[in-house]
Amino acid sequence: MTASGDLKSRLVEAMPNLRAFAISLCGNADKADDLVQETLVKAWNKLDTFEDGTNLKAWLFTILRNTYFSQYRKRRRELADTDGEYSSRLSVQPQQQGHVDLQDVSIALNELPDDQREALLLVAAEGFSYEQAAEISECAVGTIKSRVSRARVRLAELMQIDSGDDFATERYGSAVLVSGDPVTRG
Amino acid sequence: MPPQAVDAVGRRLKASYDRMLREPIPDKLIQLLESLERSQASNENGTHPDSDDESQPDTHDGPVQREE
Repeated sequence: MTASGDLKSRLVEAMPNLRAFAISLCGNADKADDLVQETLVKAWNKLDTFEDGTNLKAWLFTILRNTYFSQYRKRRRELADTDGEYSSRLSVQPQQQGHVDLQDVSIALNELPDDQREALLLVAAEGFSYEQAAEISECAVGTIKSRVSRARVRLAELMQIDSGDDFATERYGSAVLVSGDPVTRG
Repeated sequence: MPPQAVDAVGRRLKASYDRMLREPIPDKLIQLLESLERSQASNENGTHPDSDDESQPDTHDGPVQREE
C-alpha cells in the first residue's frame, strides 16, 4: 500500500488493456466502463492481497472477469438486442476508421459462448500464456486450450474467412480491408 | 476449417484489439483513480477526508462511484 504514486501509474498503464478486455467481453462500451470502474475500486480495496512482484495485469484481469461473470453476464444477455446499436455507434466515429474492422470482429465475438470468448481474448488478443489464462479463468490449462481452439474455428466460420489472406467474403457488414496503417489517436 | 483461416481470425482479432488499446482512457476512469488516491492519502495521514466530499473507497462495494 506504499508508493501509491507508482501503483497508480501501473494501474493507469493497465487501464487500456482492462478497457479493451471489458469492451470485448461485454459487447457494450458503457457497461464496459462501469465494469472497469468497479474493477478498479475492488482492486484498490484489496491491494494488500496483491503480491508484489507478481503480474499486476493478470491480477486485475482476474478481478474484472470475476466481476463480469458474477454480475454482468446476465445483464449482457438482456442487452443482446443492442449489439447492432453498439456497432453502429462505433462506426459513426469517422476519425477512427479502424472501428469498421472492429465492428465485424466484435459482432462475431458476441456470437461465441462466454467462456470461449474470454479464453480467446486472454490468449489471442491480450497475449497471456495458456497457463496465465488458466489461472485468471480459474480452470485447467487444457480447458483453456480447448476453448481457444474452438473459439478460433467458430470465429472463422462466423466471419466466413475462407483463406488466410482473403477477407473479401464476410457475413457481417461491409468487407473493408484495413491495411494495418496506424490509427491516429483522436 | 483450414488452418490459415484460423490464423487469419487471430490476426484480425489482434488488430482490432490493438486499436482499442490505443484509444484514450476516459476521463472518468482517471478521475476515479485520483479520488481513490486522495482517500488513501487521507487515511495514511490519520485524518478523515473531511474537506473532501467523496466517500472513502472502502465504502463502495456496490454501485460504482460516478463522477462528473
